[in-house]
Amino acid sequence: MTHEPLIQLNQVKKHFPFKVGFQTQFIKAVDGVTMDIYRQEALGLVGESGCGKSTLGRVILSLLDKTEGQITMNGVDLDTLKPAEMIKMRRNMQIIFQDPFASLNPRLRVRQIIEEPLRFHGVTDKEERINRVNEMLVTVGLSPDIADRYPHEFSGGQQQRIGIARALVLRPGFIVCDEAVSALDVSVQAQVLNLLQQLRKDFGLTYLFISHNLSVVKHVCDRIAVMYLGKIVELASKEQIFANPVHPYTRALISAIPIPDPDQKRQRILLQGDIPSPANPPSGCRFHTRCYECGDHCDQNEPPFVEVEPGHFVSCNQCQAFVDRLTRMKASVSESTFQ
Amino acid sequence: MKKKTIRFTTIFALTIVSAAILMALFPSLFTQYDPLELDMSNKLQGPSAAHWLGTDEYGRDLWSRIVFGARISISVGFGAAALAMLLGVPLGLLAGFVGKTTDSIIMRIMDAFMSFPSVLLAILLITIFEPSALTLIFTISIVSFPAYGRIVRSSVLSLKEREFVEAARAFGAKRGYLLFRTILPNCASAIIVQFSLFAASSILIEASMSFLGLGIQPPAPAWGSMLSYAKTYINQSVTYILVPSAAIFLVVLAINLLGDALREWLDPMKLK
Repeated sequence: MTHEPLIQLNQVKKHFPFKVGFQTQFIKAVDGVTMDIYRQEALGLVGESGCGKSTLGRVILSLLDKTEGQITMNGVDLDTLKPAEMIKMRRNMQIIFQDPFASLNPRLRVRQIIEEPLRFHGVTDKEERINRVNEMLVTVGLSPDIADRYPHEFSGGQQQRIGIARALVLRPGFIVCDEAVSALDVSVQAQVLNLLQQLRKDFGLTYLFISHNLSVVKHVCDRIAVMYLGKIVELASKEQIFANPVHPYTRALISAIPIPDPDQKRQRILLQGDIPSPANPPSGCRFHTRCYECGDHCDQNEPPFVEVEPGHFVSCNQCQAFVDRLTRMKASVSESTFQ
Repeated sequence: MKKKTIRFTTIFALTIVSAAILMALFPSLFTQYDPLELDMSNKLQGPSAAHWLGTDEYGRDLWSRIVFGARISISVGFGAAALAMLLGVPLGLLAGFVGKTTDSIIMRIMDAFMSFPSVLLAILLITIFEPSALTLIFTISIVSFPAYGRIVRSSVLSLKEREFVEAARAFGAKRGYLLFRTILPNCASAIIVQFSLFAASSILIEASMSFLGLGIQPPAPAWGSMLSYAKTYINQSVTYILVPSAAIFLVVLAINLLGDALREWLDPMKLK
């Protein structure tokens, strides 16, 4: 994995308007996200439902128009593209959906579903399309013989493989996996996750892996972004985030991962209350209403997104304590080497 | 595993509907009597070998009048449903797909048409134009196309949020492609099923208009007007009022059953 950014987000916002009487209010689904997605990495995006994960994924793919901010892909600002150029750009970015059946057109045969993007992007040679579809089916672990059947004749796992084949047939570099395995049985989840990892290796793909399941993200991803109420609260490598979670929300999430060992006790951090409404997010730090380490000014000061150690970003007013501890640790290490 | 079974009701419905359509197309194949031929010596008779279903107050053969009357019922029923489809489907597609202001404008116009009482509109149109099958088709489709539009609109609204439509957007499909290649084929079955239901209800509306004298004018045979004249003679001949009632009942029931069968038959889960 290189650290060369493929996609850069700069203060990206997505607000959905809704009317209350004569007033127009906004649901701030994504409210100022700045981050880079590196080439060939798998970036996990976690958070509870309603925090804006899926919206962010769709905004990056321009399936939803953003309200504000800038998205660049390969250094090209997507806003500057003309419609025809945007269609070309879409070859490079695809999406895999949560519900495998709903994502396949029930009136088309599997072959038609997979070749539709090819046809649309000017692969006019019928033979070539047939070959590419067959090749894609083999790649995702299905037999080319099934190409003339309809989607409802398959199991969930097979349907998801068809969805993956459709996403990959244009040879994209970037794929948003929107809860790609959460609708599947656990045993099938593992198969599909392994397939996704294999494909990533074979085709050099970049994933934005949206999930609410930290164990899945831990299995697949290199870096993890934790989202809360439209903002990224912590972004770090998988190792950093599991070893040193800084943000209180991240710590609560990690403590909620079940441990498959009945003897081992885990300390769960139970968050109080519900996620506040994104139409009217709390002042200051958005998490202060549920935070167990809330300080005096957390309800007034919006925390900056700071780098607490290389590649580890946190947005929390109380993270200074962590930085201090880390510097003390480093200092003691260097002292001990002096002695 | 999946055996295609055709139910008895479907066969029944198909037989009745196809018979009615054949009568409408080639009425003279089904009867030797002229529906307008008077025979005062044989008026208001019950069923006999010569007149299968009996005769009316002028001695005209009832079976022959039913056969020739089928042309009006079938052409008005299917014609009005077709015209309503032609008006309602594009407007419903447009309203559902474009949404926002376009949707509001189209829906309010449809509401206005929907709130028009059909009988009043028919009286109006018949005073302006001739009372003919065409006028009836026009009247019925004007009052029923908004319902068609609403059905199409609501299925477009639900389809356009589906993930396979989003998947098509993700590979760059434009609005026209999404609407006609992705969404329309998926509401086609709803449109076809609605067509049959609208045909059935149009036949009923036609019958009630003819009953009120707003439809085809005598002596031309129409099931609704036959019913209207027969009610005067209910004490002399029971078959006279039963025959047109049964004709209307059977055809409307059969078309409705056919609609149900179509709905099942066009279900995408049954695709093979």
